[in-house]
Amino acid sequence: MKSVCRQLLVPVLLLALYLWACRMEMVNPYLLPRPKQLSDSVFRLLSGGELFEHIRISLFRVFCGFSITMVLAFPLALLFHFAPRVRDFLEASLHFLKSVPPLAMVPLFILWFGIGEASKLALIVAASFFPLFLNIESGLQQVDDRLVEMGRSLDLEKRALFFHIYLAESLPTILTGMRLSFGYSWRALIGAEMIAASSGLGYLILDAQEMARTGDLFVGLACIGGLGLLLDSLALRSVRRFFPWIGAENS
Amino acid sequence: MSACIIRGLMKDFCLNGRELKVLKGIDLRLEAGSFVSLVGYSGCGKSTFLRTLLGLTPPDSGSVFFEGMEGRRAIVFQEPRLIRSKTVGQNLLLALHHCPVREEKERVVESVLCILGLSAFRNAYPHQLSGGMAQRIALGRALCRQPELLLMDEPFGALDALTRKNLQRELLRIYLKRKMTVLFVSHDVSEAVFLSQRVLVMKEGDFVRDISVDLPYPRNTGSPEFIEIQNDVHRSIVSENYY
Repeated sequence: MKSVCRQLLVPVLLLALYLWACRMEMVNPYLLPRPKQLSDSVFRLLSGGELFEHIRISLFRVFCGFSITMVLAFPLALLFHFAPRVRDFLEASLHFLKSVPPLAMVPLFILWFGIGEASKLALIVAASFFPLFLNIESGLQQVDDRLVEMGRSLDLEKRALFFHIYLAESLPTILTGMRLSFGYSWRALIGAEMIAASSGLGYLILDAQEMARTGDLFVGLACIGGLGLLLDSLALRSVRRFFPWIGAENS
Repeated sequence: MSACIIRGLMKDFCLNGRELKVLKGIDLRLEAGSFVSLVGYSGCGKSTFLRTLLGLTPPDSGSVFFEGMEGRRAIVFQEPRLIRSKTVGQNLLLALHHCPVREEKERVVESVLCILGLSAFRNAYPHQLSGGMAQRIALGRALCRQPELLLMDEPFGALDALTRKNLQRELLRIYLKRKMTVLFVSHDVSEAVFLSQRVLVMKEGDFVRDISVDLPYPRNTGSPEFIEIQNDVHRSIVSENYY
């Protein structure tokens, strides 16, 4: 409870500052919308169901993109770790790709995949792949050889060694990678929707700017930040719930 | 009489291009039910010998075979080596991975926890255990394998003196109850003499002395006979050909 109060202190102070600035008429309403404008925006966006539609579409995209990332990153990281030959062939190419910022690839994605869903998914995958891939790989690398030896002393075959030792031991790092990677996909998605889209939260913000609806813009920003926060804390909570040993070790 | 028989065990390692003879043709007969300790300086090949017996390291030549025994083996390492994501019970169950009957596995785990007096900790995670308790769980994991030959690689070396004393007594109690063969590697001479019926002194990949300890359990570490044997073992470890 105490920590919740502490966390809320800064937002409440900012809110007070905002209300005070509005009261004193210090900032142009076009730059900083008045509470009335904001509530009008919220009401309008909610009553038509428009806001929920944008959120639904954005969430759908990010979950699709993130799933693709998982499907690609897991096998590739395993291959890298357990087949050093494959690593020799692919390492340089992957480092090359890692150095190219995903946003720089947007024009290429639009050229290749058009302005539909595919180019957005491609951008999400490009942005979230490496945080996940690198974390899985380093998680596997950190597995203590002595534990593997212990597993062999129990006559565990390869499959059991993988699940009971490699995967179990690298799980904390993998989960961190998943959280990081999900954050990256969320941010990349908004970027994607600001470039070529007719729906989604990114589109909502860009459209609001073009139409000079500052209220809508703030509502869109609040949704992006709020949802990001919510999803991350949900992820953290489920990790603590299902894997109580993670994090408890060092305390 | 059943026994574990080791013949001409040899193992070379290549270190920085230099050939290192770690085991120089070891011959040994371990009578079933005996408690044998292996002492010597670190790097003399004790650990490699244990790993070779277990099959973790294949020998260059020589053989290990069991007479009148099935040859079930288990090892306790110097560190507990528990899996942090598994509870105590799950860590023990892993040792019974190959057993197809679930009820049988549960029964063995329960009985091992009971022997160690740790039934209350079945659902605890390794990070909630003290060093001594974790090491007892590691011993429990080895016992789950129902070994005929229990290999122990300095199992109490990382523990504080008090906990070590406790665990030595506990090991002795379990050994006397189960009557398995134990091969115990140690660098602590007093510990070796306290526990075993036979102390083998190892030097540069071979045994240089085989000292039998003919004292009844439980042993009094202050008795003149005990100290006599202890000094004898000490002398053979630091004898003239040590350089």
